[in-house]
Amino acid sequence: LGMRLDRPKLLAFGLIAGTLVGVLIRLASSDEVWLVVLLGISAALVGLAQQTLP
Amino acid sequence: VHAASQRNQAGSSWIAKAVVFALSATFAGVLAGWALGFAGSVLSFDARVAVASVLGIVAVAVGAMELGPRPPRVLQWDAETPQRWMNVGALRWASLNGSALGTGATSRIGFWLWYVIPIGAFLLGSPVWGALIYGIYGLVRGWSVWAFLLLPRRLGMGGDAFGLWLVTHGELSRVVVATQLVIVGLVVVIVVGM
Repeated sequence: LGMRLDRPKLLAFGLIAGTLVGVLIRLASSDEVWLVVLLGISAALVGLAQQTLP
Repeated sequence: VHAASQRNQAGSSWIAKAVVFALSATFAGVLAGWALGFAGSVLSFDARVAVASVLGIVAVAVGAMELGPRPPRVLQWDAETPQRWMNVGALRWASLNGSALGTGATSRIGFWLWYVIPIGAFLLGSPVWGALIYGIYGLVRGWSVWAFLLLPRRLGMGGDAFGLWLVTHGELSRVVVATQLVIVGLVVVIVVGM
């Protein structure tokens, strides 16, 4: 979008996006969906963290 | 051998190799998750809940230990993907490497949180959920190769400097994924126990 992203902007975007996603999930969720979301986030985190392995 | 490997790696653009690698990793993750979810569906719901409640407690304990000064050694094949794959041609190498890293089990995994992916896919007992969870892992693992290819240029770093920068953030990664493991364990214990 041609916008320069610095840390405060990234944090703000992250918070807004996280809140929106959280609200959407909560609206449409059962326990199973919560678990799937949590496991999906975990999967993404591991995939990213593994890039820092020597 | 090195020259032969280089010959075998030549002939395809880095874009083609990166795309094949990323697609293979994603596909392998989806396939592994689907298979695990299908296998888990054979178990009764009560059995899966019982196993999950025990593993939830284990996850909290292991995650807490991983945050401590002496993290427990991760059970893993402590190895890279086989070097001989360098000799099978560039696109086949990309495909094999992507498939192996998209599932992760046969190479260095590094973090206990990785186990949440196959175990979670299995215990949910749904091929669709399994494919989704494991597919996310394969997708992130596969497509992050683009960060290696594009970010160093944008940041004005050399590839080696970028690799070193990543490795120096290993401790931060460990803290983040260990905390996530504790959270997953707690949520599983709460959800399963209620």
